[in-house]
Amino acid sequence: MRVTSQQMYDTLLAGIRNQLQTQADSTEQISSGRRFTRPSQDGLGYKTSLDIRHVQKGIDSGLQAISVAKLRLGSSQNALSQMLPIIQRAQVLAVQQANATLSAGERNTAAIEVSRLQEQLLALSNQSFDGSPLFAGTATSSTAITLDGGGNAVYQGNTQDRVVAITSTETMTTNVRADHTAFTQVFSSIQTLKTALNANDATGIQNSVNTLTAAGNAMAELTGEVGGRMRSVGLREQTFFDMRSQVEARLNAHESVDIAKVATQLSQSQTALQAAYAEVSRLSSLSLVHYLK
Amino acid sequence: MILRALNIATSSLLAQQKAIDVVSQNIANVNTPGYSRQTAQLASSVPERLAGRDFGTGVNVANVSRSLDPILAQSQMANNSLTSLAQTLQQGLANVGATFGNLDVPGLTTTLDDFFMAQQQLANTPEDPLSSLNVQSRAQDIVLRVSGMRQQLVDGQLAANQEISPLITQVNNLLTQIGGLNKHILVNESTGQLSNNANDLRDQRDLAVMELSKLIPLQKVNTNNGGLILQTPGGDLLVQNDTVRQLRLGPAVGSSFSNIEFTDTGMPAQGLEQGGKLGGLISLRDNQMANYVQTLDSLAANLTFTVNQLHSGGTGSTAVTQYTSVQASSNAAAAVNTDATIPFASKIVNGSFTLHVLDGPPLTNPGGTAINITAGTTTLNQIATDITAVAGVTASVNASGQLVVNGGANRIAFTNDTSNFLAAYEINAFFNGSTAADFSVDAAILNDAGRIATGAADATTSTIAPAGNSVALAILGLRDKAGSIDGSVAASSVQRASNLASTYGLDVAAANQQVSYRQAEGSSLASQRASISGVNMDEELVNMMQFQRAYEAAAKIIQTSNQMLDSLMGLIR
Repeated sequence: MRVTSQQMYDTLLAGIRNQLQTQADSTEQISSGRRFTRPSQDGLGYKTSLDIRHVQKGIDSGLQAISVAKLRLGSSQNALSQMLPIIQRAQVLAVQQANATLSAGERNTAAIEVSRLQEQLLALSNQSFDGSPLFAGTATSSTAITLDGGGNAVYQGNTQDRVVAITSTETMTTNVRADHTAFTQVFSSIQTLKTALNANDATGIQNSVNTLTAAGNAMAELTGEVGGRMRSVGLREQTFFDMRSQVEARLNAHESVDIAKVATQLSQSQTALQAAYAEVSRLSSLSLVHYLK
Repeated sequence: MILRALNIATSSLLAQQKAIDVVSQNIANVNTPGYSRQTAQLASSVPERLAGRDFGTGVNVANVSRSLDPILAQSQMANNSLTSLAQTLQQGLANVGATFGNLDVPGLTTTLDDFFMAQQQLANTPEDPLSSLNVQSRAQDIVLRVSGMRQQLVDGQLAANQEISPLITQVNNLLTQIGGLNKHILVNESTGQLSNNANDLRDQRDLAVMELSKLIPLQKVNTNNGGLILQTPGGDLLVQNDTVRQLRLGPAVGSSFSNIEFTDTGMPAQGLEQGGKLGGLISLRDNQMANYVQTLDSLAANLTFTVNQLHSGGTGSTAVTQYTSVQASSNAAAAVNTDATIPFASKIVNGSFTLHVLDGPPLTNPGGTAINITAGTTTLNQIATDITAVAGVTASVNASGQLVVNGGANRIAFTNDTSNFLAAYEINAFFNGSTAADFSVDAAILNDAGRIATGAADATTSTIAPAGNSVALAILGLRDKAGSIDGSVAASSVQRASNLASTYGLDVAAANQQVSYRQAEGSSLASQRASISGVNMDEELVNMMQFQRAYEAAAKIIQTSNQMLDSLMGLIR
């Protein structure tokens, strides 16, 4: 094959151009720490990155939602837990006042304490969370419970539960409504005790011991159920944390550049480039013209 | 006989001089683009027959030929065309690269993710006004991003289109130049002015054809008489000898861009999109960019309609007493699903929506009133009449063709739209528009984030719970839900956005690969051409020495002949 000087210059020039491109690409990869940053560098890889980031956003969003759920369930559990000692105190009073030897005055005094207990239970039932009643469903403008003339609890909320979206397709109920039988039983039994104390009715007081026990059990059961939901939320949260770690690792593995490999490429390219530059200057001296002088 | 020797030596002197002229021409054009190495073909002159024997009469230059491989030239022309196409695509795609963002800057997928994240927060804390404001802000981000991307891509299309016109002028100039060179070559070679071989004119013509092949794809046919025929890949004649057909940009067809047509017939030139810079620009304008714009339009249409389907049946924290459809009917007496001015009219199907009028307490119609729609029958006027029949509310079609539902002092709400009427006419809509070009957040929502629907009126009592989140949850459900309302492949909005970026990336990769391949091919072909047609200085210098030595030898013969003549003349004296 005939070879001309032009061919040799063209070949050298093409090689230098390629090496400079390698230098530019390698430098960008090393400085960014990523194999690619733009869709034009790796279309499919870029899409995978976007998909992983989409999952990441979903996890972050889910964790935010879980914190809302935990906060609401935690507040509910706290309020319900505070009701239990109040009910127990009422039980103690009922047992004490069931003693046939006590006078009407003593029972009236006890009734006053029971009234205070009833008020505390009412306050706990109407506890607010984020400006809205905690146990009134999705109703926001009313208290959860009021007491009618007979001292019975009347539910003021609605029947919609507070549902929190953990993901776009997964929801979780995060509230307890005060129309639950546990609330009804508690206020009913307290009212029964209060009425019996005021009426100095030893038999009524004795009967209220049983209803209070049943109400206490119901409330303890409800509190336990909320606790169960809290544990469930906690487990879900842990799952999200685990997923987040895995997704983060996957994203790093997918995007991160192999620094050692790129640095080696860069070094090789530098050597080739230096050799090419040297060859360009050497080539000009290789001509018959020099020998014909 | 001595005189014969002198004549032969003289012919050699002349021939060697001409050969050195050719060497000189080669050396002078060592860097001339498109130049083909020339060779002086020496041939012995016709011998004379004397006394039954043939005696040579010397040497002459029979021909000055150029070294060229026509098949290689054909390959170079085709490769030039495809290289130019790939480079134009590569450059054009790189120009809009910033449109698709990068991993360090929030792109469309991130913006969509942020919107659905805000929607999730709204669903989880519906009574928090900040959540509504966040959704409002993130929705506006989507609109700005989508419309901005579309504008950049349309600008890319326009830029490609604007480049076409001056390119056609260049093509026409080259066609004229080639036609002119054809004419010169034919005249010169037929009259024998240049030894029947107009090498330099042919080089110039080949160079012009090569330049032209970078602009448009060509088919080349060399004719026997030294002429040349050029055609488009579609078979349309461009040049035949000195006949030249010029191109021009035709009139724009509808909303599309102009075709390229022949000036003489007005017929479109076939196959120009297959190669050259012109082909690259046409491809960029009509394929890649158009595809991206269409994908964005589809994304906007799907997001608008699917969100509106859910949003129109919900309510926010603001008590709304009047709704006006954003879309205006061109004929309120025609069936609502046939109105050509309503982009999503065809989506209206047999069904109904429920109208709740909160005129109490107590309410006249707890649970609301169903407004029935029969596709192909129910008109906008009929719907207005049906709504007006409900206690506590009136409806009418205003002068612009919009449906106005007015509850006076009564709050009104819609639920359970199984007909798609509310979404199609954009009543209580979240987004407006049907493409990325007219995509926007509903003005009512922009003015008041409390209009963003979170819950819905109760199906039995019509009461509206401020902390209800059924609609917000449903809209959140669209985050990963694949769907399509326009015949495109079913996908979620985020998938559509990531697919768009990926498609762009793959287009760039394809263009880069083509450029690399074509450049390598071009280098190889250029090397082969240089091997055949290129000037090698060393070779030329050696040739020069050969011819110089031959010239000296011929001169020596003249000197010797002269001495012989002197000797002869001496005998006479």
